[in-house]
Amino acid sequence: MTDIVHVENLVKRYDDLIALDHFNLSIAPGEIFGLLGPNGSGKTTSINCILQLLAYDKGTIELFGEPMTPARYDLKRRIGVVPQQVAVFDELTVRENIDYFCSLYVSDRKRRRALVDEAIDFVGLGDFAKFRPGKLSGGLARRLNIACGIAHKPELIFFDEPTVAVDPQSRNAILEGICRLRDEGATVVYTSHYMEEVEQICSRIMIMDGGRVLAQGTNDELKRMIQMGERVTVEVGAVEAATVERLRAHEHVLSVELSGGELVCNCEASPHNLVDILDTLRAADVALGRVWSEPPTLNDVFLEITGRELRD
Amino acid sequence: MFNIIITTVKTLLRRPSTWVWGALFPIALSTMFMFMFANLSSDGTVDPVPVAVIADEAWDASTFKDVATSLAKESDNQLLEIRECDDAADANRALKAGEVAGIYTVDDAGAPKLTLLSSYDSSRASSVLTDRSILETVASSYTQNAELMSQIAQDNPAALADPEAVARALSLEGGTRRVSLTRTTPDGTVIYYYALFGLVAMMSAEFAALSVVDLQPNLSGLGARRCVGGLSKTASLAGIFVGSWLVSFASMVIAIGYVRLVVGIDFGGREGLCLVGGAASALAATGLGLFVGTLPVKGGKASKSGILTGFATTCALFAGLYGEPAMALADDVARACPAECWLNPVKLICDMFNRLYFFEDLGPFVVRAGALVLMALLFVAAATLTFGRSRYEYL
Amino acid sequence: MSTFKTALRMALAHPFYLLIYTVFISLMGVFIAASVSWNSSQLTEYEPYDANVIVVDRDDSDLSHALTKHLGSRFELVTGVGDDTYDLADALSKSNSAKGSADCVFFIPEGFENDLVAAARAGEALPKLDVTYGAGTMAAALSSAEASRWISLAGAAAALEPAASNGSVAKAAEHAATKRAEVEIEQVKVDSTAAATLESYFNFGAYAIISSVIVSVGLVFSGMNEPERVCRMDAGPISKHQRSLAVFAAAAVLTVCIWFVSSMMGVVGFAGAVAEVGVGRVCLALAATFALACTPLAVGFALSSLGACEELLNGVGNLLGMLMTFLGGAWMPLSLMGSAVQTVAHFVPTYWVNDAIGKALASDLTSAVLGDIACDLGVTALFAVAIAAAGLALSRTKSRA
Repeated sequence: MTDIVHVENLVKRYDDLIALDHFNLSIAPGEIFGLLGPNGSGKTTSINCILQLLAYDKGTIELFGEPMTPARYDLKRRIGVVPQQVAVFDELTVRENIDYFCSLYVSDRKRRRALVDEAIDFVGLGDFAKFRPGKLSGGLARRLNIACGIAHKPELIFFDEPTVAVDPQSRNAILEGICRLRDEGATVVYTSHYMEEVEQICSRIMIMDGGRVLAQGTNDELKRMIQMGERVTVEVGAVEAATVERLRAHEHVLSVELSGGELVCNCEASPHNLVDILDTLRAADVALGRVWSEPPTLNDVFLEITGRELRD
Repeated sequence: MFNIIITTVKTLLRRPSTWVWGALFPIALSTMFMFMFANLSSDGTVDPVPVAVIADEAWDASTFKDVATSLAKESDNQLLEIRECDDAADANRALKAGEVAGIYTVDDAGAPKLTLLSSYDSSRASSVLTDRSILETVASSYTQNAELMSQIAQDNPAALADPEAVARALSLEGGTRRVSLTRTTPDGTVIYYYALFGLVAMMSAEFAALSVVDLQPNLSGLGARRCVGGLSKTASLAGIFVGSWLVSFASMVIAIGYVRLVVGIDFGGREGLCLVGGAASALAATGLGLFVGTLPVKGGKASKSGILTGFATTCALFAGLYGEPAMALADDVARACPAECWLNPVKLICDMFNRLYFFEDLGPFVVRAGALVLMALLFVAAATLTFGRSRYEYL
Repeated sequence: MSTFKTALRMALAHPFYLLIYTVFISLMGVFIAASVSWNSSQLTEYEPYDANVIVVDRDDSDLSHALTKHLGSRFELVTGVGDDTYDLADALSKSNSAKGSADCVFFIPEGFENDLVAAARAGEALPKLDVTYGAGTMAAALSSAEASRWISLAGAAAALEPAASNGSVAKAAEHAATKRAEVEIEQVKVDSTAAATLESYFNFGAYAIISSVIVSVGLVFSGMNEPERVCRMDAGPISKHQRSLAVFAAAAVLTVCIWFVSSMMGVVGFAGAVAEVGVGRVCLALAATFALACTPLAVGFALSSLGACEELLNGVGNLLGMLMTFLGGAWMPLSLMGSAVQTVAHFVPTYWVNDAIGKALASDLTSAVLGDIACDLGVTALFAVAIAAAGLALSRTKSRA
């Protein structure tokens, strides 16, 4: 099957800074594709290049199997965009805004009316249809922002951090909505800083930094790519420094941290991690409370791949 | 595209600044003009020049009194308004108070003398100086007749033998008859309203400029969103052009309507054509706004609106909007550089309305309206080129 | 101090307003005031008004030539327009895209000379000359009077010497017409051109000061009064009182800067006039414009207390600048306007300021005049105080709400 999005060797420079460095991307139909990366890693730049908003230096971009250029309005008509900021007309009401953006894609008035109604229902803004954006709360404004991007039922939708500054209820509604769009046949490109969201809804994930792809695959594939296979957490009494050193010396233990009566050991994948750790602690007469073991999270993957230093 | 037009109109109408510039501004300015010109002649009739005479015996006995009083008779051609004063002090007081333009005194020989004040209000120099010159011309009639007589007495004394014939000859009155070349009398004040129409139109260029800013991905998130839509840039631009033009035209209609109905300026029964002129003006302004809106200048909305305000007010200055001194300056500039009349849109609009008002022949009006449309086309073409070609290095 | 600097930066972040309203409009004032000085001169000896006249001579006779010559000697004869109705109308229509600009056009008809001489000798009414008036009605009336006068002279000459040739009739009229009445000029002490120029500049410059201060100061106050920012700053360790003081100081500094720039453009642009009028007088006039600058400062404050946004500030600033200078008489002398306007003008500070400027630049600076000026400035300051008080009351009620 042809990729919905296919990007090869995309290079974008801002003067001396390389924003995208031979960036490659393939997204299959029906996917929710997560694009992860720290601030300034090139996520939004890559989307803007794909959308032809930005001029780029090198590379090819194909959408729906066809080369994308600024004048390919036939392709643009099949795309929906939900930008990072709430980009709507302050002077228009919720309904007028959605109708306007829908009209950029759908000229038939009757059909549009149905689509706008549907979009308003979809984001649950029925009670606010006559409000102007200035009167909406942060979460409602975000929902309007989404409705404007999806009303025309695009086949490919770009969501650029759509859940920033949104309460958990709204966030859940938004995530469910995105899954529903996928179920209806849309392909979704999703960028976010919230790992659990990406983990929850994305079928494939790409981690990028410095304009380059660092890793991509399914959630599980990514987790397998990193050294850490398991995190063992033990509630403990007093622990001597020597005991901690002994734990660190274990073959599969990557790191040990002790804080507030909780001992956290990050380990490589191995069948005996838990037993080894508990044996060591018991041998040192450490009082034990609850003990649990869990697989690595996407957050672990992200931090291990992109590093822990602060950005921006 | 229809929806873009509607959206453009709606967004513009819901911005307070649209109402300030599109409605409040023309109304305030024309009201100002209305008061400004309330006391000025605007119907092309001659205002009699007030003059004081010292009504002594010499005055009563002089032939000049007859000449002067005949010119002060109430009629369409009344040139003087005589105020008889008992003594020189009274006349002098009236002169210094500005109540009269000059004083006539007649000496014992019957020769009139004109007394004028050395100072005058420079802001109304032309009317003061014409008034004074009229008084001088009238006063000179006596001396000129006397000179003619003495000349003939020298050359051909026999010609003066019959006093009756002499009196008859001297009473022959030359005169002029006013004829009109134009359909209405030229009027010094209507021109200000036409210049005002020009300024109102040019200020409305801002509507298009601000609407275009919302279409540019590097200037607003909204612009980015609109640019990824399925509608071509040209179509979006066209929609904005039509929408902004409608609002700009509405503003012209308000200005023209207010000036016609409230201020009471007579458009010589060509109100419909005035609206056509308004539409052409709005077209040029919208084209300009579109062009400036797409110019890649730093500073976004503020700088574009600044450029347009600066441009409009400068053009208005050289169209003579800001009072009498500015009008004089505009005349000088136009005389020195006739091309300015075609390049300065405020002046062009002003001229267009002026032509419509004065000339039976619609040709000059049509030519100027056409020039405005041409101006609009050029601007739109330039805007389409700059906007259509633009790809952004930065967002 | 940081509040003060930040407030200033907020205004400087909108350089276009400062550029257009302060520099640009002041520049317009320079243009306008400069054109005032071209037009005005102190009359020391009488000269006829320089009307622009077109003569269309269709008779081409001795008499018509002499008449044309006479009109040319009195007025500015505009030539090169031709005898095309359209061109002539164009020249009269006040628009200067035409081949020339004239106040009136005389048409000397074919056979004029013969008709005139014949009528005069027969004792009949003299033929009338066709004339078309332009926009300058009075200038046209003057030219008409002069032409009529000449025709009367020619008629009299023809009647008195029935045997004279047309050429000698023309010569006689021509000669007699040069004899003018005695004109005496009553010398009075007047405003010098320099004073008039400066006065005109300061009157119009008020437009720049008013609009620029309203917009810039309004932006500062509005920016510092934005509810979210206020919340944030209220939570900080600097007292509200201190903060308001800093913001006000910034607004005052802005006002002073705008006043200074606008004033200096006039002072530098008309340095000669300043020297002629005297630095002391000009300083007095500048004190008046400074007093005026307090009003837009108060207006900017009051508007922002009402929560005015940038667009509104811009609109109100510009309109108010225009209206206030108009009512101050900068566009056209107030004496020429109706009594209603003159009455209304008393309720506008520009009226008082312009009165003070006029006195400062031209009157004898007696103690009475100085008292008048002080009184004018007092009234002006009161306007500012009243508006600021209204703004303060508004912001109080608003913050309570």
